[in-house]
Amino acid sequence: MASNPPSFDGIPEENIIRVTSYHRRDLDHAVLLIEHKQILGSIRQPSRDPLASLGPLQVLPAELLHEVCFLLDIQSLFRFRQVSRGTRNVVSSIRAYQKTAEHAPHTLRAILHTKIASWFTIRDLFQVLHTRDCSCCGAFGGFIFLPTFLRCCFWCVKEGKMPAVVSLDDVSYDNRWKSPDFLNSIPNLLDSIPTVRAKHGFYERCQIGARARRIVTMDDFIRLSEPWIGKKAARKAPFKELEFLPLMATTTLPHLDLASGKIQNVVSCSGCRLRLEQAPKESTEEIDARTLSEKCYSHDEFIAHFRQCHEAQKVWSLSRTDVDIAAKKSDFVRQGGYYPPRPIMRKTY
Amino acid sequence: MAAAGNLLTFVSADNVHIEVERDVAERSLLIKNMLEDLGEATEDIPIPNVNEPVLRKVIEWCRHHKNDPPASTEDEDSRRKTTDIDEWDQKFTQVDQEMLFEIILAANYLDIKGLLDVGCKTVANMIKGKSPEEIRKTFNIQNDFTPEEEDQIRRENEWAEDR
Repeated sequence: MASNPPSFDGIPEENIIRVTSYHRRDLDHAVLLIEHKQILGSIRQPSRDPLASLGPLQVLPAELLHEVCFLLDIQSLFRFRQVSRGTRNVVSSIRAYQKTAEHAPHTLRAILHTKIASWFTIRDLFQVLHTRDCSCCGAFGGFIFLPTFLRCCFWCVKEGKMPAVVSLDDVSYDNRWKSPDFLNSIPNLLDSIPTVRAKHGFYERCQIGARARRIVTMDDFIRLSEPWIGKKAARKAPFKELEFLPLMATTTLPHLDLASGKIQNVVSCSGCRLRLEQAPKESTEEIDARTLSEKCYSHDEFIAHFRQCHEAQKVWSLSRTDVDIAAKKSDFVRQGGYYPPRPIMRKTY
Repeated sequence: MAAAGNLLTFVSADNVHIEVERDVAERSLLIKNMLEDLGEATEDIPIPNVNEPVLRKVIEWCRHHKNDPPASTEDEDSRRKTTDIDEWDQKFTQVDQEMLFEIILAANYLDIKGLLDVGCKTVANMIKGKSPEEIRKTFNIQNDFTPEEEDQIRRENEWAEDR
């Protein structure tokens, strides 16, 4: 760490990150995002002293009660927490629950909301919370792909690199599948595979208005439907191709570093963004700058990048006279990404 | 009474002597380690905290599972399968709640991982998919929330489910 420009040593990394990087909020608005009406403190807090016992469960020590809770799906755990003050305290004392409710309440809400909560445990979620890198490309990932509970980065979702998903509400009927009862020919379809019930709303920065959909992975669909309709038919099931489906089945998830206890979101480089905006149009420099400016970093990765990035260092030097220099020079940095001047819905799907 | 050959004698908390085959007893890591330390067990093995009926149930489970392969790393597809229980174990755990929790405690004390898992899964299955009211009924837990706390829970549900 100490080998590169010595002038930046000793400066708190948080300061460098605050001044020369920004968070792409627009990407958060491209996926499933259920914003708080209010911050709900009560989901994090334990209860007041219990007045009633846990019944026969009372004989189990805390560690065994936690073992039971680890076997519950998140939906059931949430309900168990609403039984009494005692059960509320049991759940609130689970580290995995505490950390998730504290650092990723949006994620928890999206998981409950889409009903995928009944397919995964709090331990599964905690595991993803403290996994840092995209399961697909290995870069820092600020999102979770809900059908499989995998950490991912925005670009892998957007470019369709996550496990393929289909919508059970978008089946086209061709000659082979005349019957609209195609899905009905597979018993218990919805109860037997993890289904994300994505809400209706705007995706891709308000560019896509989508109605509510039930989203499953193609692999799960094939596995379940094969015995009923045969391998070939399952693979060739007439689902409509919808590019934005993976975005509907993804939500934001910050990263919790277990060693330091720090929580972090992905950041992008303000310097690289300024360079892009100043580059001559359609030059090779512009192409190069675009690639760099779209990169998302973890805090550590960003600091490493900062040490190599002259543009970011320039922003840092200028910040001595004006801390908000990058935001003043670039609307993109100030807004946290690209928002269309006025949300234009091209089409409702 | 000394144990002969491959037979050991457990003494339950309520002082009942029960004979157990050594390979069955060794499903318990606590006993297994103890036997390794001792070399030969020539004396009765006291099992404090565990009463006769519970100890007999535990031994019944160990006998049925004595040839199980060592605990596998069950990592494949964890989704929802976490609480699948095989048929024999399901019948085995059809006991009253008090007995079930006693078995779990005994499995924990004796360090019998397989049995502990089955116990915890059974309890989890009694909770899964139920409403808070149904869970209260199942375990006879009293609702000790104040009206304000009830209100808070209603808000939590709206928060989690409202569009």
